[in-house]
Amino acid sequence: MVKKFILTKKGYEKLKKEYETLKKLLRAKIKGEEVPLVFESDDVNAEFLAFKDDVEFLETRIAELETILNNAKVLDSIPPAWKNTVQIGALVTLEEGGRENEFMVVESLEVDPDEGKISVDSPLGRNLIGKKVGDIIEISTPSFKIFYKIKKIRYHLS
Amino acid sequence: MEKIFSFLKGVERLKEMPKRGLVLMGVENPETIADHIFFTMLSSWLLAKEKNIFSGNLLKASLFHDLGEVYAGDHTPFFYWDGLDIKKKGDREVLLKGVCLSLKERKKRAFLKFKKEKESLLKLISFLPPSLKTEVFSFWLAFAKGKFPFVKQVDRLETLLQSIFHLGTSPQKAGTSWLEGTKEIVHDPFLLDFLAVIKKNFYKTKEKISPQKEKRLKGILDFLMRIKKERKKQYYVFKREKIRETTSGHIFMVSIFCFLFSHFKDIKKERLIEMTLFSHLPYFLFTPFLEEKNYFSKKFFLLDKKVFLENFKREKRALEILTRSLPFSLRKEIFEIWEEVIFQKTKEALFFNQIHLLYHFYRFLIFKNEKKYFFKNKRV
Repeated sequence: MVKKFILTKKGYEKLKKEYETLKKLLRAKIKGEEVPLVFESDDVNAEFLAFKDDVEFLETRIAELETILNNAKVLDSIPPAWKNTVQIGALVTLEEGGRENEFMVVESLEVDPDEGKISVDSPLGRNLIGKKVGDIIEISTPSFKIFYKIKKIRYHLS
Repeated sequence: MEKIFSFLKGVERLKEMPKRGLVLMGVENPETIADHIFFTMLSSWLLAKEKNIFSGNLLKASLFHDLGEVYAGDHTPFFYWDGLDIKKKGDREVLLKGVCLSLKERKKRAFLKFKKEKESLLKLISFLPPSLKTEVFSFWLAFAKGKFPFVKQVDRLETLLQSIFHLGTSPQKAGTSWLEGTKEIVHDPFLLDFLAVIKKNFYKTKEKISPQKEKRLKGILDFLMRIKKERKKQYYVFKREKIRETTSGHIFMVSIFCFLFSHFKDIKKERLIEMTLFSHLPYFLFTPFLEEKNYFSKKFFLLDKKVFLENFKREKRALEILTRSLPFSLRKEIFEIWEEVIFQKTKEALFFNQIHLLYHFYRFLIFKNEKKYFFKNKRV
C-alpha cells in the first residue's frame, strides 16, 4: 500500500510548483533547448539548475514528486480528534526554565530546520506527536535530563 | 585565468576560518570551515554508499554547501550575540543551554543568514565563467533551500561529531544543545540509526538497533573519529620551501581544483572528487615528502621505480590501517579508487594527477608571491 503524505497547503503548492518546473525542464532538455539561468531571484528553483545536467536524476525526482502529489492529503481542516493534541501541521510552544521554543511539526518532505519546521519522524517530532497542552517531554541521556512542558498548540492551515 | 585565481584566493580563506560554534565554546585550534566541508563530503559519501543512494550530486552539494561563508562568516544559533564569552558566568550558561526561539525569530534569522550568504557567494563566484558560476550557485542554493535533505542531515551529524570530539558529552562542558539540535533535524530512518549508534557509543544511551546494522555503522563512526583525530596532519606541498597545509584543507582545495578544471572536459567531476578524497587518505597517517629530497617530482612523474614502490607500500599500509573498521564493501571501493589513481588506470585518474600537480604548482606560486620575490624577480 502506498503511503499517504499529509501536507500543509503551502507545502503541497511548493511541491506542485517544483513538479511543474522540473517537467518543463525535462521537456526543454528533450527538445535540446537552452535552460534559462536566473541569479538574482530567490524564487529560482534550485533543482531546476542543479539537476539540469543529470537527466536520470531529474526523471527520478519527477517520478518521486508524482507519487507524492498523487498520494497527498492536504490539511485544509483539522479533524476534531486532533484539536488539542500535537499532530502534523501543529505549531507547538515548549517551555523550559522560563525559556520558550517554538516548532512546527511537518511531514519529512516539508522539513526546514532553519525555520523551525521539524519532521514528524525526527526524535523530537516523534516525542511530540499525540501530546497535549501541559504534557511533559523528557529529553535525556545518562548524564543529563531536560524537561520541556507543552505550553501551546496551534494550527495554521493557510 | 586571473579571474579563477581571484575565486581560489577567496575559497582559500575557508582554510583559516575556524568553526564559530567551537570558538565560542572555548576550543583552541578547532576545525576550520574547510575541514568541516571535507568531513561532510567524506561522511556523505560513506553514508550514502552504505544506504545505497549515492549520487555525484550529493558530493557536489557537500563541497559547495558552506561556500557562502567565505565573506559572510559562520553564523551560530547565537547569531546577534557574537561577543559571548565562555569564561563569563552568565554567558557560559547561555552557551551551554543553547538558544530557544519563536518561529517568527527563526524565520527572521534564516532569512538574514540566507541573504548574507547569498551576497557573499555571488561576490565569490562573480570571478567565474558563467557556466561554472551557474553550477556552484545552483548547488549552493539547492542545499540552502532544503533540496538535499540527506546532506543537510549529514552536515548536522558532522557538527555533532565535532562537538563530541572537542568537548565530549558532559553537559557541564559541552552543553546539551548539540545533541538537542541534532534530534530536531535528523529524520531519515538510516541516519536515525547512525545517530542511535553515536548516542549508544558516546552518550551511553540504550538504543534499539539490529546488531548487524550497528556493527557496520559503528565501523563508519570509528573511521570518521579516527580521521578527525588525525585531521591536523600536515601535508607538505613542497618540502624544500616548507610549504604545507593540513591534509583535510589540502583535500578541500584539490576538490575545488578538480571541479574547476574538469568543467570544460568530458570527465565526471564527482569521480575526480572521489579520487581526491581517497588518494589522500593515507596522508592522514604518514607525512610524505620528508625523507626523500626529490620525492615530489619522482612521485608525480614516476621517475624512480624504487620511490614509487616504497610509496605504494606505505600508502597501502596506511590505508589498510585507517579503513580497518569500515564495512568490507566500502573498504573495497576506497581501495579501488586509490589504486585507480596510483596506477593511473583511467583517463580520469590521469587527469586527476595532472590537476593535483597543478595545485602543487599553484601553492608554490602563491607562496613565492607571498614571499614577494616571485613576481618581482620573474623567477620560475
